Amino acid sequence: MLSRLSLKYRIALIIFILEAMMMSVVLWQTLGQSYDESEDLIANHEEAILQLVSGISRSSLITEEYAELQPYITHLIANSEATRLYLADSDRTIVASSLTTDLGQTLTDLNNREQHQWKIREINNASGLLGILAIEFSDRKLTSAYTEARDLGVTIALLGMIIIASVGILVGFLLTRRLEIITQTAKRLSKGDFSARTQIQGQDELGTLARTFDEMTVNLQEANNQIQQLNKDLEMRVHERTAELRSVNQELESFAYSVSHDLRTPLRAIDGYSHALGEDYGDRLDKEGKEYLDRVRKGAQRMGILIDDLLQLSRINRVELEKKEVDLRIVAEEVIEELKAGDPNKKVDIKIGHDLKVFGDPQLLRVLMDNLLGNAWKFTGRESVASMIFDHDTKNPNVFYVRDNGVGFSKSNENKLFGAFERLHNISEFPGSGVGLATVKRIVNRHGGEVWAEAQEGEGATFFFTLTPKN
Amino acid sequence: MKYLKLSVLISMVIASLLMAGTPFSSDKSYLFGVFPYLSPVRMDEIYSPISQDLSKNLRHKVKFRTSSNLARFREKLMSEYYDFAIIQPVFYPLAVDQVGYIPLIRMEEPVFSVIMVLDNSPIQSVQDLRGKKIATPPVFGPIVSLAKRSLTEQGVSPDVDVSFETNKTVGACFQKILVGQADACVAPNFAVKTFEKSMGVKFRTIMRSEGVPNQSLVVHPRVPGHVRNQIRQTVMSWRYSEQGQKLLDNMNTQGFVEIKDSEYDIVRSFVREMNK
Repeated sequence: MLSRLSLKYRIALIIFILEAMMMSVVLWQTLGQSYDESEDLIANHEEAILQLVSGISRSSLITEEYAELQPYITHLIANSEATRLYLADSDRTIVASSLTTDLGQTLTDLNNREQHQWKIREINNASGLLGILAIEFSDRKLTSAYTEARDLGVTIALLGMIIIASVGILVGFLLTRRLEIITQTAKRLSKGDFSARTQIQGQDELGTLARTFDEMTVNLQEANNQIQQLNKDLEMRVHERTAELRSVNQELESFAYSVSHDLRTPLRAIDGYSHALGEDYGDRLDKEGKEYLDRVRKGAQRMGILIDDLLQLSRINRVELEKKEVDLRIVAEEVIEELKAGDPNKKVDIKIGHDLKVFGDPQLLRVLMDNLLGNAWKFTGRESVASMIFDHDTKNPNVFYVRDNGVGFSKSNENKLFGAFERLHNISEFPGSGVGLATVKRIVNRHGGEVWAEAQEGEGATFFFTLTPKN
Repeated sequence: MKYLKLSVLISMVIASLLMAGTPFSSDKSYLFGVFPYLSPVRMDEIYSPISQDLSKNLRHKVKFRTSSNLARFREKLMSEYYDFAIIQPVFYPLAVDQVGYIPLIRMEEPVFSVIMVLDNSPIQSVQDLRGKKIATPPVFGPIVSLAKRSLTEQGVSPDVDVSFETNKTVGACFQKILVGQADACVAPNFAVKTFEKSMGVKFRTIMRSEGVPNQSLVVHPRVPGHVRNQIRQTVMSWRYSEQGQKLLDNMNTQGFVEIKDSEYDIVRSFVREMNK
């Protein structure tokens, strides 16, 4: 609630509360002291009256002449806070009184009325009690003095508080006015207006703050200008470099395509002529000659595969992603079907999970699954019954994995797995181009995911990758 | 024996009847009056200790009372208000001869009139009083008459060579000198020390009159005889005790002695002269 209030009102409120507390304490203390002093003063006054009247009464009691006392009593009642007076002799017979009807009565117990108090004084001499003087005093004077002092004090306190609260608001306004300017300038600055200045003068703390703020904005403006200039330079440089890179890349791709395409033609010729040679002139070749010829064909075919893989790797970087919903279960099943068709005698236990729909490029994801499942198929070739699982992590639905019970790999080779042309096994044991997992990594990365593997040598391997699930 | 018992019984009945006729019962206080020569409060300081001592010795409450002036005291004396009283000499014929109070004792030293001036006053003798104003106490007592008689004897005619101004009390008389409204004051000798003490001023005597018998203590006949004797013995014994001596000092007397009625004949002649 308080934090919603403007600073100037908070300052005024705090000053007002402090002032009210201080005024209350001062008022309470002053009134208390004033009341005590008035009480003492009136008590002394009453005591003086008692002493004076008892002195006069003593003479009357000694002389038993009370008529002379009556004018004094009348004057006292008329001109002081004394409201009633009784003088009784030693037998408690009232011999002088402010009420003449009470003369001759016996002085009995005197009860205090509201705002009135009896003060009783025994008048003695050496031989004992001479008489009893009782004067009733009114508290009206004390009450009235206290009320007047209180009303005056409260009025002065209220006036003082109003003045101080007004001054507080004014001071708060003067303080916050400059703070407001600084705040507005800071807002303009935050919106990018580096020309904003407070232009506040003054030698106090706020003046210093404003000057420092203005200096800071000048520096910021200069720095911003420099950054903008640097950005322009950088953009120009990037633009130039990008153009250069694009040109070089195009040249490189053209070169790669040309090379691959140009290499294919002689390879195809080598393979074709080797095949024709075997067909047409096989009977003229001895066994060793035929074997050499077979090796030539296999080498040509392997090189063709390698060129295809390289072209595919190159295409992955260049192709524009066309993301859509892809059910990886269906993709995996298609890949497995093709793998089974290529090696129908292989005994394999395959488990494919459900709800494996993702959001990505269908063609690239097909390449991804080809490589991962193809690797699993390949590296379980020595197992009597191969085991392959493709599913997603139950706790993290965007984490998918392909697990097999193949040869696995040593943990020390983990960092080599996803490099191009990296091979962990002899090509004679497990044929391949060595760019499959590099292709997998690029596909996953282009989809914004990550890929990693866990394995132990001889105990199978698990390849994890993350993709954005459909939902 | 039978007659003896009967006579004892009759005697007891008569005695009880006599006692019943006595105006005093044991629960009533004795009123002890003193003629006013000082303010009532000052007199209370002097005489309430005396009434206390008397109460103790009489085993009966004694209340000290006085009046605001001599006229009222005289009225009360005449109305037989006081049971016993110390009276000034001039009231002796009134109290004893007219009212019937019984004279018991008197102050030992005689009373005489003195004319006092301030110690540093240029007035050195009676002759210096010519053309001066003399303050006096009320004329009820013999003091003023004694003073005037002495002045006449010394060749200064009262109301011719000197003027007089009557005051309510002796104290007022002394105060007139202090404030410069009178040049001298007539006072009874016994009062001078009291005022010098209370006012803190030293006065000088320039004239002393012949003496007359001093204040006396008289008792109303309603006070039983044995009580009268107790009063007499108590007051006369004060001079023999330290505490009693203090009481006498306060009254400015050496003590009280038995009274002889004839000693007051001179006062009686004074009164007659004043009444002429």
